[in-house]
Amino acid sequence: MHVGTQGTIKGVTTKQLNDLGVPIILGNTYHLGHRPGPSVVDAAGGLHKFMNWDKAILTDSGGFQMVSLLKLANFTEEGVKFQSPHNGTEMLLTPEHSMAIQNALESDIMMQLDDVVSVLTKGERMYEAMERSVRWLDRCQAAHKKVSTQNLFGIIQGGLEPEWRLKCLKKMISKDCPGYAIGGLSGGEEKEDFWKTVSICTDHLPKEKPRYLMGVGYQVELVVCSALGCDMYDCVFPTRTARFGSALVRTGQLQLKNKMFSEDLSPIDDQCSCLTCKTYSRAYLHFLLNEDTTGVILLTIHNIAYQLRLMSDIRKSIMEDKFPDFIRTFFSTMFPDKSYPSWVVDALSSVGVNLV
Amino acid sequence: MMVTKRSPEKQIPVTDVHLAKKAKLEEDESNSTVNGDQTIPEKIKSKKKNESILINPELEVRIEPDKTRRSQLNTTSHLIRTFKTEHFTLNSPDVMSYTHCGQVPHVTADLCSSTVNGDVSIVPLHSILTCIKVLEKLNKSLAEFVKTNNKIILNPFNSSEPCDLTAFNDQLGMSVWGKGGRKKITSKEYLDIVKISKPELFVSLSDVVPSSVNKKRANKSCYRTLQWVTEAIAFLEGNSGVTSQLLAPIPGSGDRQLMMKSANLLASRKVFGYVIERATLPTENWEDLVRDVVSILPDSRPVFMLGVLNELEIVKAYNCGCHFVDSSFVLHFSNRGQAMVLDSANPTPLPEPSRNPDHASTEEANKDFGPSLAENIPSEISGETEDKKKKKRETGKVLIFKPEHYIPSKSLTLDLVSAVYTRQFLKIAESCECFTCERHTRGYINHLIITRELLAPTLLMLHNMYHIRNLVNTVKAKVEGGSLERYEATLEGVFRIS
Ligand SMILES: [Zn+2]
Ligand SMILES: [Zn+2]
Repeated sequence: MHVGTQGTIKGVTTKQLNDLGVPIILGNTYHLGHRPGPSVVDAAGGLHKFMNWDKAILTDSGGFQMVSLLKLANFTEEGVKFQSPHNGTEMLLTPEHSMAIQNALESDIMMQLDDVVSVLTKGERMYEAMERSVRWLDRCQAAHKKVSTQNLFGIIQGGLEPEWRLKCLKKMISKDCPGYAIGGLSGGEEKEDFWKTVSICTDHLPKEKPRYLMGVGYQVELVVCSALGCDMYDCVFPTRTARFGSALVRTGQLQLKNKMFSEDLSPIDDQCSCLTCKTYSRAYLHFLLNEDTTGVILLTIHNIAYQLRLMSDIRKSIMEDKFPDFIRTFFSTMFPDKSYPSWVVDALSSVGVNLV
Repeated sequence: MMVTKRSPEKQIPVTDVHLAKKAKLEEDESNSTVNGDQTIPEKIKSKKKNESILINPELEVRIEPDKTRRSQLNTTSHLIRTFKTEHFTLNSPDVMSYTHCGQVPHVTADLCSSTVNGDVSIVPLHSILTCIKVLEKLNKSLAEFVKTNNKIILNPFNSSEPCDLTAFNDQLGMSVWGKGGRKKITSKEYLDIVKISKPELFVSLSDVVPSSVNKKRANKSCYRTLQWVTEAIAFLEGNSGVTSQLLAPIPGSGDRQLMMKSANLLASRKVFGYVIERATLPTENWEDLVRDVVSILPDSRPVFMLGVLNELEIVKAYNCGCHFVDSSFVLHFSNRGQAMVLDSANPTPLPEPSRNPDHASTEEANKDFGPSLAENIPSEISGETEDKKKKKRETGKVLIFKPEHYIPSKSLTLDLVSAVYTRQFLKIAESCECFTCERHTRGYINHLIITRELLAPTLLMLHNMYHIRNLVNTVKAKVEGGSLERYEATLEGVFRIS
């Protein structure tokens, strides 16, 4: 899933996204709730019509954005209290409010409002956040007005504590959501803890329902977590990294602003069929990135194409029953010297794929 | 039609000792400071003296416009033309796409259909300075490097942003503002860049100064500009492998006497065509002057007016006999969130949208979740911050145009930054078939502008460029119908009312 924070993906038109084959995009409830506001999007006939996008849209709850953007966010049983960054007045985002906004946006997948704490939080507060997220899921389900057209996903919390994750899984699965997200990860935890927590969740989540791993999008993580059983990801990674001049390739990343590319007439990836690779050389992109915003747009297009291809290759290899081979090829290309991170080796061996 | 054979250079007697001395002085300066090894050939030296005399303000050489030609400048035979060389063809009238680095700003190539991009690109020198070394090393032309099929016109002067940038020009060369600040480009350096980048056409260096400067400064600018034309001609004569065609800027900073003299001199020089930089003309009432200037230029050569400020000026430029204009002002409109909506086929002022009671007020539009957005509305969506720009220019002395000069009459554009449009889920212009209007609404673009998304100027560029191409088609029809003059008057009326 690609992140379209403000109802757009950095400079790329919806026609271009469609041509690339993007199946779903993510809209941030916090941003869209603020500008243009749910009543405007509602008046436009929903977010799809507003931005002219007829494929799927997922919206988040708005809670996470507040925690990451606003230092003063404060969670109470009622909801998230925060100070408006614009005029300083105190505002409150409740589960009901989040549902109302997401109902107005008419996204295909909506996320429950959850109690977000840092993954490194220990003890009581983390447990409270897990329990509260379960209670808020109830309130979200009760407030959700368009059950027949919009899917509300629950978000599994519980930090790095296996017991709490299991407890949360049990409670939330009983609420029969159409899909589940694994929340609270990718926040600076040890990789060892990260994959083990993902693994606990995927072991217990219902097989027939989509599992969405929130906040994950690096190439290596996508492959490993797909092997662990996740289906969906979001990440600002391909678009954000483009903003810094970085191109995603099978061997990792190319920092195109680096002088070493200034005379390189080859495309970013000679096997990529995106507009950027079909038309332009690395040398030209190196030059353009330093001169004009169009360079960032071209790079964003390539990075999205890269990530879509990676995911469709994963999907294809699973269907053909060749996923372990795919994984081995992927990692030997990414780490030609076979210096695989140990967490990758451990995580993959837990599902029977041996890299070494 | 092929470029006609050149008449012999005009011989002008040396009569002004003072200017000749001054020229000598500046010449010495040039030899001693920058390129010690670069000596100016004798032949050029003598020409230089001639030119310095020609533009001497005290020398009363009255040059009369060609009245017969003047009356035919807006006719089919003058305006609707094909200019051919061995290597390319230009069809007039047309709008040359203003680009950065050969790219229409904000717009990727897949969205640049011919209705947006046309087939000629203006590339301002400042945007390619950082790739010249690479081009040379890789032995690639600029067109090959930027992957464009368009014909390229290299212009050392940036028509899009002519703010006091020329205050730093001197005898040695022109100041160009690129990434990382000001760079002095000498005539020799520039001609090397032409040789390396191989554009189809190039404008020689010009010391562009506004009409507000004093006669002495204006005179100096003529002297320098003509000198640089002379050097460019010598360069082309000495480099038979270079196929780039020369466009000579007509200096004179809006002064009739200087411009007529310059044009008269340049008429007999071996150049492909001429450029009148809008930035050198007075703010208003320049049409008579331009018509007079064009009337004494050879009929077989195209005239470009670069840096026009709005749709009306495009029509005026054509009506004055200019064959080509450029789209640099469209970038300013798009960066400011303005969509052009003048119906060129049937020009009438639009109703003022803000008077429509159906539309939500600012407060209402923003009541949803957050406070008023007024404070967040950007003055310019993209590009540099005002601060940076100010810093960049604070040392400049001469101010030509401020960005506000690009604001047209209000009712001929939609200021999509306004909260009036927040809830308008309609096309920018009902009859428009551009990429943007076929897919997106005023309300969505308003949102993109307010949230400073890159996509806002992209969508506006696509609409505005399409709009300008429509205007040119209308102009062609008017020329063929013999009614261009009437059309200009109508349009002028519309602009005045609004
Ligand atoms: Zn690519
Ligand atoms: Zn349009």
